[in-house]
Amino acid sequence: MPTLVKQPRITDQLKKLGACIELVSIDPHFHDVSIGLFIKDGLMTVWSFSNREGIAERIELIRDRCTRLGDVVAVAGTTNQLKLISDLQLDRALRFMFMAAVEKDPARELPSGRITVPDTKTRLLFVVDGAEEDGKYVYTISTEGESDRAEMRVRAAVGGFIKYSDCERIAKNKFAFPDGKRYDSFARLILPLARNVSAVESQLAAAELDGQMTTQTLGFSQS
Amino acid sequence: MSPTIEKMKPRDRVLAALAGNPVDRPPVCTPTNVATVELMDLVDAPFPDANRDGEMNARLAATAYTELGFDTIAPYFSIIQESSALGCDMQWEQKDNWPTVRMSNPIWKSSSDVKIPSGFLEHQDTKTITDSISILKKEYGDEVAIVGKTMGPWTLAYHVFGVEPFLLGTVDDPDETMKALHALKEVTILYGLAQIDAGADILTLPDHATGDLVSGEYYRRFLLEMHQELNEALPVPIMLHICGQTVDRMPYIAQTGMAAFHFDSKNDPVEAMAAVDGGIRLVGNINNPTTLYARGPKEVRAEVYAALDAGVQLIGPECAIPLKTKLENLLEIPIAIEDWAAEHREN
Repeated sequence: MPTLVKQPRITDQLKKLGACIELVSIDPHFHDVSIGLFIKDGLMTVWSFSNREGIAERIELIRDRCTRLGDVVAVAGTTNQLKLISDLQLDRALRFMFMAAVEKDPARELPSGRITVPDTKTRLLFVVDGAEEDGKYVYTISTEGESDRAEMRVRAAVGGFIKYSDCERIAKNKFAFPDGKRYDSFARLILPLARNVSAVESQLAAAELDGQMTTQTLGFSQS
Repeated sequence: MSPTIEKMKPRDRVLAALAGNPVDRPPVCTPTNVATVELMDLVDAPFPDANRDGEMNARLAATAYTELGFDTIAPYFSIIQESSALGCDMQWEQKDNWPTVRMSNPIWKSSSDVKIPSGFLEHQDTKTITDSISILKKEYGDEVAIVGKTMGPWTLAYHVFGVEPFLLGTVDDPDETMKALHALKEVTILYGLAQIDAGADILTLPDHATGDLVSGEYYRRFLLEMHQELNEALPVPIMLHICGQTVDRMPYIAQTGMAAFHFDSKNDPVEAMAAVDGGIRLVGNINNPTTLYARGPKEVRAEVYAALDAGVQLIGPECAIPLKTKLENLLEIPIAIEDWAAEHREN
């Protein structure tokens, strides 16, 4: 049997890493290890307590994937650190960015060009464009295709951006990020989630129950 | 807590608290489990294998002390080891979820079916825990309290008969229910004694007569006497664990003679202390699904202080923690206890 640990290893490490923004229990692309995104003084670190051979390379891949999924940049001279392009706190958007970076197929090409996504409830295509308006970078959601519910669906999608990125509603079809700056990568990342908040919330709630031992999950409860 | 007591070893601290003797500070105690996916990675002992291999199990369990600073090590993470050895249909799940018994596919129908298989204690899933306790006792036995766990007859009955058939039976044929519970009680004793032989200092005895499913009166009628018998039969301090709202049965639980009751955050600690009225010590009751899982150290600290201010003698999570619990939250529990104790020594 390997020697049982006698010196604590996590306390000092967590002091360096800061608070955990998101913890993915299982990396499906690297030996099912857990990977976390931590933040301290605006500096984010991708970290795993696994000692598996190749973990450092996998972490660097995830870090680099994050820089393509969100409005974050790699910290020069590091392989596991990144920063937001501004001082904004966007925890929920960062969580979605990190989950996608770890869980999605790393070989899959990321979308580029126009920011679009098909609606899941109609045959519409959502389109997001941005432009400077009164000192703010304002995003406008429009649709392509025919549906009686187009206006309602756009309004709902704007609501999704408010929920998942703390955005401000500028008009029925317009929103801006809290600091009024441009975040095209987050807009692209959040749009598929914003179009169907109730489904995303159900998925998140189900995911939260994984690993919980309660009377409900044990089957010892009627509620 | 006594201002005159010198710093105690974790094991001595826990055993003293369970005996109602003075301690240097309240212990941080896990009657159930504090394994997380990150700790599994740290020591390369992931679920489900860590539930089925004694060495892996010991590596993971030890992190409660070596990494988190708890005063106890509890190697029985789940609630299914005996039921697997009895022959229940198992779902072992993967790293980030709990192994469970498929209770929709029960193995027995009546008390006459209850038979402990020969080789029960040698079954892989029961032996994992006794092997692990032996390893942990050898490595940490003088320093840390080793907490075993043996499932009570009520929980075993859910597993082997199915929840619904068993509960319907308590209404339709209470005498038959008592026969079944008495038969299953032998499993509790057999496995508890095996863990004591292996080196367990304390046993947790989960018996899920939860507030969600049965009343306090049910507890008195079906389980009080049986728990008193189990306390007599198992010669180490026993921590009874029942999830959910349990204040209505706490006055009965206080009559079991057991050392402590591990209680859920659905019960207010002040109300719980009043309900047991000094008849049994309390362990708990830091909330899992909200506080430890989804909040931060500040909220954890507030709950630790609330429990200590209420007089709860041993502090720990209310139940087996979510496997994705943030480590920073678990580390906060012993820190908060130390701070609370320091403040009260000064005062």
